[in-house]
Amino acid sequence: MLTARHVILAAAGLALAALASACGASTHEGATAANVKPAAATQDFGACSAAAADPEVTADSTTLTLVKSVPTTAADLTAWLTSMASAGAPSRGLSSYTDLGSLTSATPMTVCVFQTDDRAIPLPSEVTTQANGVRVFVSSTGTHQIDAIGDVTRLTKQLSSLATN
Amino acid sequence: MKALLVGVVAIVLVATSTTSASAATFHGYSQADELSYVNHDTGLSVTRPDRGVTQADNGCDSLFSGNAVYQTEWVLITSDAQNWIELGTGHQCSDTKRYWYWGYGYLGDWYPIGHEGNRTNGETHTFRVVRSNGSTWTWRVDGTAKDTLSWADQGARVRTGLESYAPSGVVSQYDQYSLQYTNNQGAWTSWAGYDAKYVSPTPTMCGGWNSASSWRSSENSSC
Repeated sequence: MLTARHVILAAAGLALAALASACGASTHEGATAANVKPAAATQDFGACSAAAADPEVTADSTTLTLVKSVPTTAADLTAWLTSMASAGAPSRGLSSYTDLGSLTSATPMTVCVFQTDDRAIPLPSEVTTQANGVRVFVSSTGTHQIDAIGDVTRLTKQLSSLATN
Repeated sequence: MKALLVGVVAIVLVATSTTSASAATFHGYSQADELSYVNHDTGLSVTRPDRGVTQADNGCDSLFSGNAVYQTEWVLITSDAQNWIELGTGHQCSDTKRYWYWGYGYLGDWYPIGHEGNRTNGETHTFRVVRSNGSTWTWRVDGTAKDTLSWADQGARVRTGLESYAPSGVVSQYDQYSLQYTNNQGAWTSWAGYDAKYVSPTPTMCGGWNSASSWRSSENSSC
């Protein structure tokens, strides 16, 4: 006999399956997509591993999804930052990032974009950004620094002009 | 049977979504603006104390998280406020995580540049965001430069205020005074316009002018 409890359990199962399916269909490009609880992070984030383990990136999120990882170099990352400035963004060289200032131009880099829970970023009252993304610059030695916190889709799209290697 | 299950799933998903949204949507402000000369702002100076905050015990592991409360100031580079330069004090983790922070916003996203932790509540400082040499913006606290940024644009307006993600947070009244701006990299000038204010939601957030160059703010506390 089908009871209300059976229906609820079945519904919960279906809901979880639907959520899992949705996560698997993320816009990931590059490294293998992952969707894990940071506290039990056992999946391979590839070149983004160092950033994925940083509490400043995970920010108590219940899930952490690697949406995009772009392999590049310090030189190409610098060129990309310059091109962003030409488009109206502030000009900020890679050397101004405290933890990345000593890199050589040939240093292999990876730009990682993670999707997280919404974060309480400081914003003017007119701004309605859903701050569910963190973009991080990671060097081949694991040294890394957060570049931006904001809308994951927007932060990801901006990387389309970044040269890859 | 299939229709019943689909219906129940929809109810479960809607209920979950509604709960998350309501928990995450509180975002309060108590702020004041000066519009001295639109698109010619090159400096903002605010003197205020770092005020103690009563808040939830979360956001303890990372900056800009949990039920953060910010005592802050903005130079809005564009009138739509999607681009800005900011300097403030962040409070998280039952106010055990207190830090000065500086950075900028571009196209609505936040670019954190630096921070300095272990700030002392009750101490008063002068916080400045100022441009020099045509395009170099500098964040200063009590005259000490924290960092610089190259951005050729000038500001559309300047603003000071209290920003809160903590619906139950308590911030007793404090004043932001000696409010000053510069235009075209000129002399520091006191705010004079009573130009704009925004306090929401009330009565959780509170704010008001003490004078044209002094704005008071509080949360869940009279002002």
